[in-house]
Amino acid sequence: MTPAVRVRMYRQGLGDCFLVTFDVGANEGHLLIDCGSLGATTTGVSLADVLKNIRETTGGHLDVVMATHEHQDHVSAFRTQRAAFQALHVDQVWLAWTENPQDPEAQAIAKRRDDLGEALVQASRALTRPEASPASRAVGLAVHDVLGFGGDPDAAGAFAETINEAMSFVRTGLTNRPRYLKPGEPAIEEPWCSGFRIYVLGPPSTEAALEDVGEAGSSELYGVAGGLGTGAAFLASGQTATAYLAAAELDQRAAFQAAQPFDSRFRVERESARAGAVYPQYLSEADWRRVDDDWMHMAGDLALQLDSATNNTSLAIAIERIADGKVLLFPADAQEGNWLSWHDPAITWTIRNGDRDQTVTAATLLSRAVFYKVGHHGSHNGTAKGRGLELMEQQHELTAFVPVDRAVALNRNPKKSWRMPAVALYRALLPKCQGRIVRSDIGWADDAAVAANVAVEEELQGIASPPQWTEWRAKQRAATNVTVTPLFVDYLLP
Amino acid sequence: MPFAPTRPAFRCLRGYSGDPSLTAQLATAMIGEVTFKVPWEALTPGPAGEYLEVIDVDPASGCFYEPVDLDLPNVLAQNGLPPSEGTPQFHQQMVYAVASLTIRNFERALGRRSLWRHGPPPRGKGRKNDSTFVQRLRVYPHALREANAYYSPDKIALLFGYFRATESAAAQHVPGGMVFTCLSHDIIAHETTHALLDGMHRRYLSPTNPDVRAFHEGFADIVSLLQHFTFPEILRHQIASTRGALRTEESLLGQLAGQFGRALGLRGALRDAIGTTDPQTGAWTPRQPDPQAYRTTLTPHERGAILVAALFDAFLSIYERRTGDLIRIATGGTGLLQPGAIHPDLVGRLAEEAARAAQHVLTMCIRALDYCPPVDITFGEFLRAIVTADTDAVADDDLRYRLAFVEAFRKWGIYPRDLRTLSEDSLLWRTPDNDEMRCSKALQDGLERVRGYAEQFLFAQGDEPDSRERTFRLQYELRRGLHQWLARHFASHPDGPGDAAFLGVDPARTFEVHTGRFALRPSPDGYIDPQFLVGILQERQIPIDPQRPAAGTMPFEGGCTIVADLRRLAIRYCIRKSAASANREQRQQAFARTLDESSHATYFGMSGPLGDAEPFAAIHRGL
Repeated sequence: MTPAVRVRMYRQGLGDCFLVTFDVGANEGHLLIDCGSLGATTTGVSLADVLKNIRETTGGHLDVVMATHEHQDHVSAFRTQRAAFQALHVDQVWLAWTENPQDPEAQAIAKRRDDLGEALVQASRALTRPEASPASRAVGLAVHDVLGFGGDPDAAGAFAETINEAMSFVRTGLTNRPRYLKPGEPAIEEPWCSGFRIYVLGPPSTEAALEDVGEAGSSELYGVAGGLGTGAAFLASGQTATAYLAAAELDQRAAFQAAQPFDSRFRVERESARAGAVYPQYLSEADWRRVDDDWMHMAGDLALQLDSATNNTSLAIAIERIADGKVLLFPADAQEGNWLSWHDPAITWTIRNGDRDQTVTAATLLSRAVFYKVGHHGSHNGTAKGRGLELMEQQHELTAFVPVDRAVALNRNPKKSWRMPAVALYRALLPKCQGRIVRSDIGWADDAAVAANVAVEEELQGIASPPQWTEWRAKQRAATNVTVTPLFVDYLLP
Repeated sequence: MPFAPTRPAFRCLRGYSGDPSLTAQLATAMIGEVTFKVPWEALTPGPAGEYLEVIDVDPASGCFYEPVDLDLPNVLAQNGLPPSEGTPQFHQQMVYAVASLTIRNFERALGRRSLWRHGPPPRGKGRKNDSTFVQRLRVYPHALREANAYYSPDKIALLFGYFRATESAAAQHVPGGMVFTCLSHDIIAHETTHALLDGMHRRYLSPTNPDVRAFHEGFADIVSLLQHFTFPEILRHQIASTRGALRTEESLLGQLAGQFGRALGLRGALRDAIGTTDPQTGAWTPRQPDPQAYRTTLTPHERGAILVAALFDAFLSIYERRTGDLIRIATGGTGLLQPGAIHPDLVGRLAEEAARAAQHVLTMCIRALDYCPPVDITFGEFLRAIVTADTDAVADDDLRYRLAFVEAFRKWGIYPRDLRTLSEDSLLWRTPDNDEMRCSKALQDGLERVRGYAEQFLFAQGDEPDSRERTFRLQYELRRGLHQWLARHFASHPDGPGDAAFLGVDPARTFEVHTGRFALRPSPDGYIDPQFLVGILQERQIPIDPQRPAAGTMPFEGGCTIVADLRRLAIRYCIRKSAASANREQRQQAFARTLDESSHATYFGMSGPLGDAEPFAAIHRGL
């Protein structure tokens, strides 16, 4: 008999938490993919509610816990719900190779990411200091909110501390030895998920692919951290350079001096009488021509790139049911470089099918996908087009789940600008799934014109015609394998 | 009476010919430094003169650097400070010198004084008021601490950055050493050109089609590339080392920002007009024209590079045509040079021809700006402007310059929209005789009222301290006067509505007289042609996505550039971008929707302080 599999998407807001149950109703095995949230304005579901349900559903036993990447919206519960997790019995923990503390390359990436994160925190503080211009403040607030994925920009201590605590709990608090996964390794076939194969697609093993975020980015993403951090820390202090240096720690002072372009003898201190004498026009004039904070405005783009680069370290997997080859796809928040790397010609799997060997590629898996966990909350760059969505061919059956809370996203700075789901993607995905899209915030996708919260859905109005929506609603009703409850949404592949 | 010598014509200032990396390599050390001959002007410490004001504030370090006084005897006597990466005052001198040269070259081709973009509206005036004159472009040589430099239209300023080279970068600089964008000739010239272009065509900041931003980038690159040919030392050296084969051999002449590119870990220069460097092997190969690239390349710098490649290709064809006889003479008619170094006299002659060809191409490109539409420029329209402007100026195109341009654009797949054939005469802008629309005699007669201004303008074009400001005020007054007259003409004259359609605007809506300028051009028959150039613009809000009202609106602009002959009181060309064009409206909507598809748009929105402020900052960042 073909074993059934169920995907449960919890509705804890802007964040991912998926419980995949194999061989439902018989010899059940449970895989938990991520558990985090940035808030759930729409549903009000808390992470504690989620943990309670996980416990009841699994009988307190998880075969595998997977944390896909170091972002709050995927792992925050591993810090805030530690006690609840400790009460569960976990057999295995799966992490991406980029989380391996023994891997020197992974550690180099992590170190640079942390340094840049710290520098950006300083920049966001400096940009929001009271005397900063409105434009600078807007950049500072936006940086602050983007940083909220990767850590806690308001923490008294290190920026990434909360994330590091969560990840270290995943590594050591659940089992004593996590398994670090790399693409290209043989597909995983284990007794607890008997009848299924799990393929690791990403994260890519090259740094270039990790940094490919799908659009023109800075080729020196990490190189600027030193100069940015030390200069911003000085400005955020609100002190004169002399006073700042006098009070600074030795290494702060050294960093400040190393970032200076010239020998100190060339300095004319801003507050000095000499500065007033030689640059009176600059010091006395209206703001519009001054450039005091412009150098920190790069923090906006850097924060986005840092965020995307971390998304690219997502542990992306495909689950195949051996009996009929149907595939469930979980790309986490993979972005362009991660998606494209799946198609690396070197990455293929050879599987035994009956009495002969068969070669499987990422394209094969995508073409057989019947369930798609939409990447990165439906944002524009979380789903590759040509090498992703277009390869998914099972239009008559494909069902997509979008873990998102649009209200939470729109409330970030600058207000109303975080687009999740993005119009263009939503527009492409709806016909692809013939309307079978469930969002964790509102349930079945529906015409924004009849939405409960019109203001939140406003931007999505008119993406399809009313008759089109009528047709899609019929398809949704016909999809009896999807169950929407206030706490979760279930997808069953019987 | 004490003896008072006349004012010098030039101020000699030493600087890097390319950037500091050339002086650090044996092969190029002797051409790494040049002496720039900058037009003489009265300066105050900064330097600050008529067009530029260098202010050396380093906000990231929390300090200023003492401004250089180029009039000090110790400085004057040694042609400016000697090049030095470690002395901020030399940096100030370098940005001043290269920016001044770029302005000078631009003005020489244009035939008139350049003005910067207008400043913010005076207190109490509306957002669109553009009556504030800004005399000087601000130059901040150390404003940024990143691998970036940009022109800020809001601040009317150039901001240059400094940064540490990547650790992996190769031999030619200290890994992790400081790299200054304000010491790169190419970067300074590029940014200055952005400012000059923006001063002429300020709507070219609105990305209404994929070519607009790319045009800004490509134009800035070509000006900075062609400026390489004004330095005889480098030119001779590179002609000698390539044996005159500029098209097929790697040379510094066709490359931009070598140190900057390598400091970012690229194997070669930041951009190369004629070849590509393999990132793995570092091997250079000439680039073959790719007619598909124009359809598939959409990011501003890469798309701009297509324009640069086409323009540079035209330049090379002209150079080859000009030097074909020299090569034949030197080779006894075979055209095949002997192996080894070529004769120094031949180097000298080839260099002379290359310099001349570069000057001609630069002039053609800059002069064409007067013949471009005021908004929504495309590469194809630029080609039409080049061909038309050159036809007006040079009747006898014996070296077939125009054909060289047409052919180069064709090779790169750049075709003007809506043209049936790509021949020289079909590329000419339509004159009223062969235009599909006609204007009334009343409209042409209206030009007479403009003549009076022309005279004042002529006398404002001197080098008195206030002449640029007088020109600015005069233009402002002229635009106001013309606007009043046109508004009345549209409303009350029987030919008014027809003339409005001719000018590409809707008479029922408000419009602006966007620009109003005079140009004196030597005509082919030896006379001086006084020309009057007017830009008329109209803007209305259209939905970004007609199916989704919530997607918001964006401005859609239309109008025309009029090139009129003041001697004959006749409109010569009406270069029209009709505000009523439904096709163009649809294209612009489709393009706007693609812009929405980026991380920046996703998280920061498309407008407001994070969306559309500093249009050049993000384009340039870390390239």
